[in-house]
Amino acid sequence: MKAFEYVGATSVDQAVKALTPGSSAMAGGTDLMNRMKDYVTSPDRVVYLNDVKELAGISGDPTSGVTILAGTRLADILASESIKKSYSALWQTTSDVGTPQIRNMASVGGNLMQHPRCWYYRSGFGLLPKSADGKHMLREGDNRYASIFMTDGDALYAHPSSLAIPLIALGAKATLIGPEGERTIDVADLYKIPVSNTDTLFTAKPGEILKSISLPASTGKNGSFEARHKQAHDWPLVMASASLTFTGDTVSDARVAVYGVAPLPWRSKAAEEAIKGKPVTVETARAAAAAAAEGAKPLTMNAYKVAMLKTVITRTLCVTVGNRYWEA
Amino acid sequence: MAANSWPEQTKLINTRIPRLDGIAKASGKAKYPSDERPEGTLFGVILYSPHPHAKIKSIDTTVAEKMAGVKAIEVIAGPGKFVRYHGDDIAIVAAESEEQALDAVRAIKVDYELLPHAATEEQAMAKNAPEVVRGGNVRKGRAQTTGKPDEALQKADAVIEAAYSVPVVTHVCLETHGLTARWDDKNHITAWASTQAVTATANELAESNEIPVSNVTVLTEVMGGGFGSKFGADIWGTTAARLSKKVGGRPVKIFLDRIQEHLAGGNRPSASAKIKLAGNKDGKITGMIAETHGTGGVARGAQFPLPYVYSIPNFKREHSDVFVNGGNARAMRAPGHPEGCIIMESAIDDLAAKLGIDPLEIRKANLAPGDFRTKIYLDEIAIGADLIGWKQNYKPRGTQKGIIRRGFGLALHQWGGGGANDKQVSCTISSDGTIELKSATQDIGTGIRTVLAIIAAEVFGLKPTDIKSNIGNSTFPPGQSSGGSTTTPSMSPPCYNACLEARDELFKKIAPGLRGTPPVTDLSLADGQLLVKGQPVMSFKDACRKIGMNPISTLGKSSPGLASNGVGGVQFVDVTVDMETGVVKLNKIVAVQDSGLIIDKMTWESQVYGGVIGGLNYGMFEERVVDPISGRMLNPDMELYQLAGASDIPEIIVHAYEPPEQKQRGVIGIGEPPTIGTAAAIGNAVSNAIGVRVTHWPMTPMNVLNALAAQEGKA
Amino acid sequence: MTHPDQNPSNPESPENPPEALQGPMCRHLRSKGMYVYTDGVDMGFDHDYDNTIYWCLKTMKSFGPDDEMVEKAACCSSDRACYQEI
Repeated sequence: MKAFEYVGATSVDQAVKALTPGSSAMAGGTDLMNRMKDYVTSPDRVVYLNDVKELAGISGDPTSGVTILAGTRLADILASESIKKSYSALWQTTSDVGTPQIRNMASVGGNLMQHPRCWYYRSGFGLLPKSADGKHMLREGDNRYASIFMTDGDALYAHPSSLAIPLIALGAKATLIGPEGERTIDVADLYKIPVSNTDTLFTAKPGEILKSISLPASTGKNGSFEARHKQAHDWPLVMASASLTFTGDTVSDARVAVYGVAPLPWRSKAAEEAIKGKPVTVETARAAAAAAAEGAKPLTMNAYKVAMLKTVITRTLCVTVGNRYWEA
Repeated sequence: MAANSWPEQTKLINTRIPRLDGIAKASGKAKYPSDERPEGTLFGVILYSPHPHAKIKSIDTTVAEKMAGVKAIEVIAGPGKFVRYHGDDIAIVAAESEEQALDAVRAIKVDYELLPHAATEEQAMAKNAPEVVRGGNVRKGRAQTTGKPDEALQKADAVIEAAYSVPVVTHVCLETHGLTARWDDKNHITAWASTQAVTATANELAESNEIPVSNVTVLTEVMGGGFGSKFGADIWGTTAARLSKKVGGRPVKIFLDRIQEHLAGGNRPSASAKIKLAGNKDGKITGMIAETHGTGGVARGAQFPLPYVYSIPNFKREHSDVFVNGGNARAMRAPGHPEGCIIMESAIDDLAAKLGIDPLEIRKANLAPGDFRTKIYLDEIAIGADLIGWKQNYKPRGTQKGIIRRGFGLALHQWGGGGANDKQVSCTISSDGTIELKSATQDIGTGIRTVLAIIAAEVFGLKPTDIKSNIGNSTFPPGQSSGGSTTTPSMSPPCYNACLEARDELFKKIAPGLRGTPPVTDLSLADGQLLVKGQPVMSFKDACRKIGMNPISTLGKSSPGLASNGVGGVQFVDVTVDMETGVVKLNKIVAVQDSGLIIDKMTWESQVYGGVIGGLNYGMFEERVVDPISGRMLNPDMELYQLAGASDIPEIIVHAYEPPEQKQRGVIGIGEPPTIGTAAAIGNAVSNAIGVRVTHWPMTPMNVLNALAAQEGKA
Repeated sequence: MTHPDQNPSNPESPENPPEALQGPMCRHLRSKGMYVYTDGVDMGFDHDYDNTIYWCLKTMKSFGPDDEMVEKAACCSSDRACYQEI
């Protein structure tokens, strides 16, 4: 990796000041270090955030809302009984991330701000990889892990943060802090589509870091389901989270987000609309999943993800109401 | 006198004995070749081609040479030379630190003339494809024909027509390839090498540096896996020696990084087959016609055995080696056999399904008449079927219901595993009671160090830990290169003979000095004691004192009757498949394996476990993914190049098939056979579960869902 | 080495031990089998099936100094400029 200056920040103020242009913020380092070793990202300065005590911790309670500071390690989320009980979509997804070693180092903020796993990106071809003769490498090359939505555009990689999925389904907010103070946005609004290989994936302004995530009060039911190849350390192929509120047995409001199908965390409004006003049964869930898959435009190798998307949404909705029908 | 059989009653041989270096390895105390840092070590880093095919127009190392810490640079591919795959070596920098060498490598300026590439088989086989090799990328082999296959297909009750394929998988040795070479003086080299053959490495370092092989010492105390990929010194090894010479003899350490290990450390060729298999209602296979191909990158080596295991009276088979701009194949654990096994076992299973015959029965019906393995296979199938619960659990393909389905499959395999008969082991008994064995073989994980100690301890009535079992040094008596499952069968006989001769020599020397001057025939050794007529008279150590100042030393050679060749083996797999996600979960694998006389049941089992785990990686996870556009490998890491983690490994039941007649065969190698059948059996179990053949390995959700979708499309 | 199995459709061995060649092979030709199977040709072997992988000691690669492929057949004659009789 390229030689760099190291700043071990111990306060938010210090971190924000140190994050001059050309710098990279590093929490657990489970993503950044690999990018640096592969010369995918070569910052002049690395600002280490995991020693900033004011950035770690979980507070509040599910009746009024829970705040998770961005530096909270994934292992600490798993240790939280209230998250396990009331935000099981988040707890389940967190437990599926990486390995125990990774979960002990990786932070919530780092997970949300990681870069895509796309193998063209990791090979140094950029997020919008084009060959010398103008071919889109991911469109014409090996796109088995790529997106099936938004594929008319040039960003074809799949968004990498699995924690963004339950957080978006749960309606979480993200607070950023930077030279100009704090601002709070929807978690979904952390992300954007880069327009060039030098463009950023994030809406954060220069010098801004993620400070915290706020989960609203837990009212309904939520859950996640993940399809992955390996049982051990692996990335989801497709994963979804749902947060449902009910009037009696009927879904009155729904939020459904999906991983692995788009270059952004994919909010499936179609699935949400389809399940609203209905009780969650295998049939209604399947109908919602079918609606969710409409408009998918898979690439040359990833049509299997459309089938997988339908399954994952069906199961996510059913899991949310405690129905594991497929195990019957 | 050399022995022609192993003792009938043994205390140690054929029992479970932990490996001598097990604790050292597990605790991190063992020093692997890549851990060695002889004083003054410089670090070598390789500049390799990012392009699949290019001509080097110019290479400028002047900036790199002046960088901090850089001591020497060797150019491997200079101007006018070609690079033929992503990862092909161009130059190596030796510097005071690895980081300095890495920085210097990036400062070397290479001007490439990019050439069109054929990095995938599809590209290589296309019309007007860029030539990887002069004369064309598809090298057709001579067609093999036996009997009248066309006629057999016409007359058969059922014929299946199918296409199966399995991709290239890379070696992924946990310890990467490499060595540290030190030019000791003007014509001596010492090397610490991660190798399967200290003698081969010494040979190549000597030849390439034009010094006598006796001036080269290659040391491999322990090593972190080779699987067939670590023979010879390799370009980085010979270059390390040249760099060491250039810098006046400071050691130069060059080990591949993980990316290079995938790109240049070798791989198992791919295999594809278009196959027709014909059979009758009685379960007899009558004919086969197969067209196969595969790629070993920029090398040959993609041939594989087909027909495999089963006796097929009429067959025609044509094979082509396809050359692509990809890192070249190296022998990988049972070269050719896992591929042949996948193709054969898939076809026979599909034929059984079409004929409505139990997969077990069709296999039994087609074993080669008169083959010594036939009885072994029949026994092993029965044992394995029992252990997996075939009778209770097996349901015919296509009869499973529900979203989560269970399936069962099996596969048969075979291997040679015979030893060489020209290897030697020396045995030295010193007056302090030390027993030292020496041979220029090496322990690639098979447990040979322990096996030799067990044999010696058996002969001398001692514990294996009492024996100094010294291997991994090319200057020792000629030892076996560890390939083809030949190490234990090659080394056990000379070890046994060396120990017997040394023991006899000991008796001869000390008998006259014993009370009552007993004849040597009255002497024996047991439990650390010298016995006269079965009565302990003194400790082994005390007995050794009587030999005087000159040690007893013997050189054991091989003799007939102690080792044999040829094994079978059967594996059964139990899987669960999620029909909606395509996710396959392994529930259980049963491996029933014969291999003659087992010296150490514990290291033997460990070999079988390792083989099965390697095989399940092949069946479930591994694939070298190459980008057709850039010609680069896209997953040269241990994240997207998938390998089983602990929770991906199911219960594995290892059953040693070892009736008395097996023990009488003597020692046979075990490294390769247990890795052959696993992937084929997994494929069969998956097909049994889902009712459809998944034609492309590994059994990823993508491949499973694609197979299901293809079936729906047909329906 | 002895192979009890003589059935030609059941090839035993992983790779072809060095077999009788057209002419003397080049001294720089190498394969794994040369190091492993030291005691001659394996008679039980089916020679229709050969997956031996060769390299050249001059280049340590599967291509020789003349940029042609290293192969048994091609490295057993004096046609190649780099050929040196064993």
